[in-house]
Amino acid sequence: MAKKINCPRNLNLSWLQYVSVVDFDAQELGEGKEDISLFVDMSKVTFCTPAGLCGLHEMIKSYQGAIMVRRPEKSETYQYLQRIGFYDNLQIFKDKNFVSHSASGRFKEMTLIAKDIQPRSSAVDNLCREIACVVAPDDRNFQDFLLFCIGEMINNVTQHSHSTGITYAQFYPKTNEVEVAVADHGRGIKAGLKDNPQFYSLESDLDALEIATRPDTSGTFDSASEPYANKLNSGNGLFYLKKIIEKSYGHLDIFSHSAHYYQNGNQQPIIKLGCLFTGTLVVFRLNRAYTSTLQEILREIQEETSIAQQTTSDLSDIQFE
Amino acid sequence: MNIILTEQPDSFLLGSECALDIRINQLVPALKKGETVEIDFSNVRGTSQSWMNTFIMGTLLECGVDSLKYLKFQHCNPLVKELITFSVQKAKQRALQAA
Repeated sequence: MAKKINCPRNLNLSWLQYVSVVDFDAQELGEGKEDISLFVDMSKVTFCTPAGLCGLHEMIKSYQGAIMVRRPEKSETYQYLQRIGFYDNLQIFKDKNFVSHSASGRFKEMTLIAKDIQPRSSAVDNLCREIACVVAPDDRNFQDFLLFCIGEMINNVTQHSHSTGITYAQFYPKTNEVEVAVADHGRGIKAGLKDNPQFYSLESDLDALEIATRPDTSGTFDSASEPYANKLNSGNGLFYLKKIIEKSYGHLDIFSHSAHYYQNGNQQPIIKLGCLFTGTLVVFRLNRAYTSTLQEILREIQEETSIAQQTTSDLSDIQFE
Repeated sequence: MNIILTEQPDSFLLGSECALDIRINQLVPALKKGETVEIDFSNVRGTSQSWMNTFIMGTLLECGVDSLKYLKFQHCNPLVKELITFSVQKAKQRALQAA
């Protein structure tokens, strides 16, 4: 039996919380389509966000076999999806039926996070810089936040997911917010944590998300192929993102398999069961009106960490010149 | 020994694999030989905390936190200083926990 994904008018975060993949008889598509294993109906789509697009992109990528996508009926939507590279990256609808023009500080085209940006090159740096410069061209302070957060998330895909991923960012002038999504169709956070013997018996996706957002937690402690090797992993990527969202009054959503983590600013995060998402999708929204600097936020996090761990370190021996 | 991290102006260093490469091939070998290492952060606008932890915390945990006295951090802007300070603090906390 084939599967079908029905896309709504608004392909956004709300949809991701309730998306369902239903059984589908491929014969309904007509003669010669019997071997289709996934049918994605995008005909109703008129509005898309990075969260919805990256989520759908990686859902499609996770399927083996023949895939059929019905394009949006609204031509503006179809052209927009072409222009941001949604179809290119999936290698479908290769016709170029749009007029290219500057993104005008609004979005950075969907970019694959693939193997060639992993090993010891500055490709991650360059990709993140492009995104930050496009969605916040005149705001270096805000760019610092974006670079810091996107860099952590892309490193997570390359180091932990065991798959490729995708990223997309858009600025919304009306709300002054930037939404960034980073998704992969890999093994998910729980499986990543289980590389660490400490979490070998971890069975719950909900627990995995709670643990992954704590400081000093990683699945790679024992993996010789990871940057820290020999139990030297930092395991703080999601923790820093969570703290920055908390202090900058942003929003953070993480989907990994059956669990959904949601954080609204400094409110207590909510972790609940949601629809099944193969891999991991991280979406964060930051408001450009926020005026603190990354340096100030990091100082606050550092002080809080010291208090929480009841340790005070003498740092006067650091030699800055 | 002097390590120049980047020649590209206004760099925000994010790929932790790069940090590991410099740590394994330059920083740790020099410290193990007892050399003083000057790390030049000119052109570095910032890094992710993971990048800095891979580079500094990883080195201190590998070579011992006492090796901090052989490290000199040059041309750091306030953000980079904050990132280094956080990383050193983490290394000291971990070393203390391990002891």
